[in-house]
Amino acid sequence: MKRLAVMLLAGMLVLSTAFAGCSSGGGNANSGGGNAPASSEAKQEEKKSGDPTTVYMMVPSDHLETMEMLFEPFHASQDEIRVEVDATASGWDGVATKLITMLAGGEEVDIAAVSTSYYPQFVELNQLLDITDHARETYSEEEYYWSVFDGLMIDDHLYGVPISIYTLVNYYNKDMYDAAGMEYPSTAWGKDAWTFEDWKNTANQLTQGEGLDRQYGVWIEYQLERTACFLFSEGLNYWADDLTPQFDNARIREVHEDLYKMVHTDKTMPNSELVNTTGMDQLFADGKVANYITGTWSHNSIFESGANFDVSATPGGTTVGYVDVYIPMANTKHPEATQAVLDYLISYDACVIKYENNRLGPQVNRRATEDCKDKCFAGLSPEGVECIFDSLDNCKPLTVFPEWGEFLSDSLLPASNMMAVGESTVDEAFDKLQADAKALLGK
Amino acid sequence: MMSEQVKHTPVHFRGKRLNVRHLILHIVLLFVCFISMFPFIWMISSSLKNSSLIFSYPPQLIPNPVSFSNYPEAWKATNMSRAMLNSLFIAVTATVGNCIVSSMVAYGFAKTNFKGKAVCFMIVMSTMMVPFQVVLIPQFIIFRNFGWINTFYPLIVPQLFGTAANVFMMRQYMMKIPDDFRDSAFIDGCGHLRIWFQIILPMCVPTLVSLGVLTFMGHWNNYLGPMIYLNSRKNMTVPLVLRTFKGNYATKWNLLMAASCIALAPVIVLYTACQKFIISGIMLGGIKG
Repeated sequence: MKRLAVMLLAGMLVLSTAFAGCSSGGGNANSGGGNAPASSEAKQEEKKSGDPTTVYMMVPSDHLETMEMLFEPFHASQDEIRVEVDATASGWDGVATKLITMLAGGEEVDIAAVSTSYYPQFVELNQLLDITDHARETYSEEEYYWSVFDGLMIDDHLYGVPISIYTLVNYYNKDMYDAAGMEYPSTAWGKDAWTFEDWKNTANQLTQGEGLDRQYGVWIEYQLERTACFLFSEGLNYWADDLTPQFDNARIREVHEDLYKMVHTDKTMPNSELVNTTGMDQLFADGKVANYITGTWSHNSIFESGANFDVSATPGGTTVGYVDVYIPMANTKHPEATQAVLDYLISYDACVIKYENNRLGPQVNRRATEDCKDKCFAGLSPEGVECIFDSLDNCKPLTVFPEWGEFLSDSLLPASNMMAVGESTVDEAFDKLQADAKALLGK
Repeated sequence: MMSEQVKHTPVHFRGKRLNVRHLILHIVLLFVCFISMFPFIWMISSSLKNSSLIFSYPPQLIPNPVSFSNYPEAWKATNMSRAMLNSLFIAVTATVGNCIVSSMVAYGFAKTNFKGKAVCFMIVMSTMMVPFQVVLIPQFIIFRNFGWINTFYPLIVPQLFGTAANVFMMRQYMMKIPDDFRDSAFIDGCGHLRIWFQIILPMCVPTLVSLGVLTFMGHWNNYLGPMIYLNSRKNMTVPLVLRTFKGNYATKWNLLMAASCIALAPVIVLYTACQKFIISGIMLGGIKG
């Protein structure tokens, strides 16, 4: 009897491990299948036997639904390429962690979706496929916003195509403006835009009440990368062209002194405790904050919060642009199929699908963007929609470099957080940032 | 003086004598208990709110209106049933295998004598100090060469070699069992395998159960391993599914909380059922042998 028990236990273990392997059955992620990314030998075998080429693509988990929408018509339209989407990693950091592990482990990845911050790191590591020549031949000026590709060029080489283009804009609560009898902020960009001084005055005019009943005039996330929009319009930046850090620039510090005062002294901006505990979308919808400078990635959640809102330009008239990127990997065994998938992802058809389903932000395809302006950014007036699209011509990308991710996590975000909670003055934080940046970049 | 009065002045409530010290202690414990439970209560409350109520001000502990629809929505949106089956399979298999092998190794260290035992034990223990992140890439290369990527093997097979922490706990417990049991069994003609399985293991049930529950919870909540080794939607486990509600730019908090409540249910059932073993098992295993 006891021997039988032992035998049963051992048998169970063997069976369990055998069943564990059954999960590697065929099919692809889109169709609910479960293939591992095919090894190069397997893929070559696939090609030899005339089966479609499988392109393995890694995206953050919240992109899965969009990918399913995009690749269903793609698979229906041809039978040479199948795209296997891996959306198990969550967020940009998750994708980067998994991608680095897979690349280090010699596993083949064809395409990955990465954020602006990670793009230069992978370029520096020589992990990306150079698509400059293909892009120049294929992506025409008439069909695409080439300024966006230019923003992705590193040493005149292109290593990816944009997923979406996001810009910082000012969402404002119309009810609060109406109640105060004030004119809505300007949708004009460039020289005609409202200024940083106008924004501060608006903050004072719209701030009232005390304690729980206090309403605040403005808000911008107190992160140095976000507040760059106030600097760009004055021709300033945290970095010189040769990447010399500019955290000792007197005017940059002055702008941040103003922001610091608005949070901690004038209290015309809510502090981080209130924002973190209540959520900015809710504060905005509840009429606690009149102006909310954020990226267009927040549009859907602001719309769903039920606020009566519209969009204006950011003060100063030049904003920050963020471009997340689909990167083709250098170790792909089928660059042509990979390139074909990239072409499809920024094609007219794919961009229209994204616009019609309110997925991601403005797209790089000019024709699709012009045709779909009335289908995106729900809840906005036509002027508001136009303002968002005009922001694409009035934005500057953040200066990023291979060490950017390290600088962001180790220096920039901690410094921003310390200033946001009042634990550090602007001078203390900026002195440290200048020293950290110099040490990191060897300047 | 005051404490003297408290000590000697009996307090009565409805004719019964109250112990003031116990009363204060219970009030403090209830307060601490409430603080500990609050995140859990808040999770349940948020799972019953619609998205506009999640961050409403002032906060609502009891949602109005109550939105039960988050549960079916979360279940459908993420193929939760498949994820729970996957997680259950991985967690049960890895836990059973781990407990059996760990106890076997622990028996070797606790009840047998061989040359180099102390050194071997130190080597096993030293593996506890290596974080998973350090061995992530080497392990990935090994499993890739085995062709195990996008299978459950990398999440289960390493567990079938036992883990240092479990070996340590089991060894500590086994060392408290008098060697007379082993010696008597020897005299009766038992070998080591039989002594381990029929004599020692039944005496280790509290520790075995507590380690089993803790190991199960560890596997049930494991995020990094499945994220690295699993690629397809059909193989996703519960922690991976939960993270799909948290996007780069927006989080569906109400659905995330509902899915978290669903994901917690098996763990709570298991923990509640085995609670008495867990405390005693850990305490007994922690005593120096």
